[in-house]
Amino acid sequence: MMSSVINRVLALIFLWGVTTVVSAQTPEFIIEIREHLFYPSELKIPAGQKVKLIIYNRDATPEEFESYELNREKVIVGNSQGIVFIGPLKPGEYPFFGEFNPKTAQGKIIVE
Amino acid sequence: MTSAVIIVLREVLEAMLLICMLMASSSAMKLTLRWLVPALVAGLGGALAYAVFLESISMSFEGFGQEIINSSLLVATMLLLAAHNFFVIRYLNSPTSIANDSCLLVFVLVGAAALGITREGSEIYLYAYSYGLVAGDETSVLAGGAIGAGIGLSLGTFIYYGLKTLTPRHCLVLSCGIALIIGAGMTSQAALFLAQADILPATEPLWDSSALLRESSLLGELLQAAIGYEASPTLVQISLHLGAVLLSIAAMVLGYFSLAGNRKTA
Amino acid sequence: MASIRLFLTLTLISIIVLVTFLSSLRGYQESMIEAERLFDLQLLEHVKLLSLAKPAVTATSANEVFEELMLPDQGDLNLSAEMVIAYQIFSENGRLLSRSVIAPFTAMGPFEVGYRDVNFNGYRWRLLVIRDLEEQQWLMAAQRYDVRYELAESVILQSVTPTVLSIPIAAILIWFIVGYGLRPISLLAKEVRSREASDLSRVQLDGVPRELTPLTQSTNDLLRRLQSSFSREKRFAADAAHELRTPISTLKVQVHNLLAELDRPSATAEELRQGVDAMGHLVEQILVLNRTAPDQYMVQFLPVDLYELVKDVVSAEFEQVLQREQVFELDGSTAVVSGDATALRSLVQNLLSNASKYTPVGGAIRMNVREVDQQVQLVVEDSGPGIPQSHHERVFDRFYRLDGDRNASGVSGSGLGLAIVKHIVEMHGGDITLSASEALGGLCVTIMFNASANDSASQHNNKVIA
Repeated sequence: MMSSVINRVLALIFLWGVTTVVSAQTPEFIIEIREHLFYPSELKIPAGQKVKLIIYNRDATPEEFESYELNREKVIVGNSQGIVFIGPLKPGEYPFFGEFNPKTAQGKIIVE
Repeated sequence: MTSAVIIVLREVLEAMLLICMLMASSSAMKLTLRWLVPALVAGLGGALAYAVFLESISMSFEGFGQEIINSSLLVATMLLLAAHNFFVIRYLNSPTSIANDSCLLVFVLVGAAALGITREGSEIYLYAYSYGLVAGDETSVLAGGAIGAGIGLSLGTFIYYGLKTLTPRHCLVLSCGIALIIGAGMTSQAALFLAQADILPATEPLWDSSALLRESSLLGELLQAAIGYEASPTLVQISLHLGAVLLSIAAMVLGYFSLAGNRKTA
Repeated sequence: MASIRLFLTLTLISIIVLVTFLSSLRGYQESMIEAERLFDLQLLEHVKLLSLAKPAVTATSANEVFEELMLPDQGDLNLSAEMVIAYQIFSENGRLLSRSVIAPFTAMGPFEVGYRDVNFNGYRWRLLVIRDLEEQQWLMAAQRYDVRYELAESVILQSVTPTVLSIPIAAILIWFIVGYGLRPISLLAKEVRSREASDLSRVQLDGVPRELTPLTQSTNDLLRRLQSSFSREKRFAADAAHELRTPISTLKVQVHNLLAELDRPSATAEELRQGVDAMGHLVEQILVLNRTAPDQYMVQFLPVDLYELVKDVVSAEFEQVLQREQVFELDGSTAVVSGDATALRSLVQNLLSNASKYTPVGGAIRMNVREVDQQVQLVVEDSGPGIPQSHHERVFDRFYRLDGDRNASGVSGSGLGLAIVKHIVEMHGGDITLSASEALGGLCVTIMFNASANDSASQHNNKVIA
């Protein structure tokens, strides 16, 4: 597919440009998934700022980090990690959940 | 079980809306539905490959392989849908043009359907597979999956036959509208993925209509699947959404005039 | 193409699926909410019991743990271990007074009265916190979410699963019932399709449903009109040909006399004689064609030795071949078919004269009669120009001539020869194919008849004729 090739190339250029800047100033936060639970299940982040969220999945099964309020979804395969950028956000509570285990894997991000 | 229903229903419905619309419009253009076979084969193969290689995909592009592949798939589908609209308008303008276009048109149909199935199918496969590893929950996942798939396929059946009850002309016009809306929804979804990977600049949402209609409600889920409803969109997302709408309209205008030019020269 | 059966089956199943699945989904969700409420109540009951037991008053050490109850049945104990409730009792100032084995040493949740969800011990728990004002203590009881959920779901799924499983059964039933309902249509189609081309009698079906009656009526109406116009056309051709016979014979005699009266040979007169002969031939051919039309034929078949018949015809018609200086060859052996000798004679005559006519002077013609797999094969090959593949279907039409009137061979013909041949082959239940002759390069006509020994074949023939 031509367009996807172009997209990848574009993405690479963007990534290179962006990540060099990002690493300097974007705050990082870590969330872990163990036994289909998020640790911590409540995470406080600063308002009005882009934030880098690193999600470690310690389970063998994949999990999909999903949040309607944050407009984010990302599958994190078993025993690996994924990065999700969120924000800038207004102060408030933003619940997130694990799409594959929504009953137990729940948490929220509190923007202050 | 509810989560299984919601996941499977959402994915099946998205794929069914796309495929049934394409089926109705291709049969309104008097094409056979034989293109479905390669589309299904390619789509299911693609879904399987995507799910199986998800780990290496995720690791590529500095951990943003998923976002990049997903948004590429979405944008490619949107472009194919715009091409579909181009051919439909051309056909409406002069039904005889289909003879020259049919090869390209079939490619567009197969491509759009296969890309749709790839995206939705991989999600379902991944969900089912992740539960396959966790013993004891099969009944609930299978029952939920069956209910979700059943509802999705039934709605698809009604979409298809509903479009078929219209006159071919109305059916094609409506299909174009659906393609335009789906394509624009896909583009704004792609924008989200790119923002998630920090490729597109992130800004604060312009508004928040979740008080009116929550994305997590059933209607919200349905609307998100159908038209890409977003409760709190960003400026980038909206501009790309509008861009996709304009692109589709441009394709239709081009389809309209491409034949007017031909007629003059003929 | 669009199928009524598929449409009805799919839409009916879709309606059933939507109605039952949505209602059972709704039922499931309601039941789950109700189950949650019951479990919460159970938790409350537990805490109330705990406060009544007042165990904490004497317990001063935080490490002291209540012994689990001993039950007579160990199986019940295992089951209840799954549903186990963790509890803690704190004094007013937050000191842990007592706890169950599975409860942690720190407070399971904040000291706020009410239900809430908390994570500890690697699970998600439903926690109830109660403040006992009388005893000046906090009571906390928690139950594992996944256990509550699984228990509730396993009960509720019992009612959902049969609904899901019944859908495929309903689908199969609907498919067959719709097929059964549509059967009159396919029966009608079969009845119309299975007719002989010439059978224009009324369509008659027992128990035609009301919806199809207009269709059968209009079909019968159409058939009746078709039949009357058909028979008018047929009678006209035969009558006209018959009426023309006498004047043509008179004309022939007069031309003969005219030729005799002329002193010297006249090319014009000779052409006139040939024209009249051709006209006579045409009229005869038309009569043969009508006589041999399958629906007209009424005689009983008899065993005929095709090889002998071919020899006979060849010796009678050999003059034409000799005139054109063509090489003729006949191979074969005795091969008996069941048929009508007059009609078969006409068939061989037409084939031979066609072959001779269209093969150039000095060309070759080869005929072959033999038995192959209980069938009799008659092959006529020539070294003429042949017939292009694209014309193979049409040359059997009446009055159809290759390239219209400007026939390459310049031969005059009626355009009826092959139509007659086809009629006769069909009337014998045989099969005719045209191809290019490999040996001679011209046309190769292959006709397959059923051998007369085959009883069922001759019966079939009789049936067709009757």
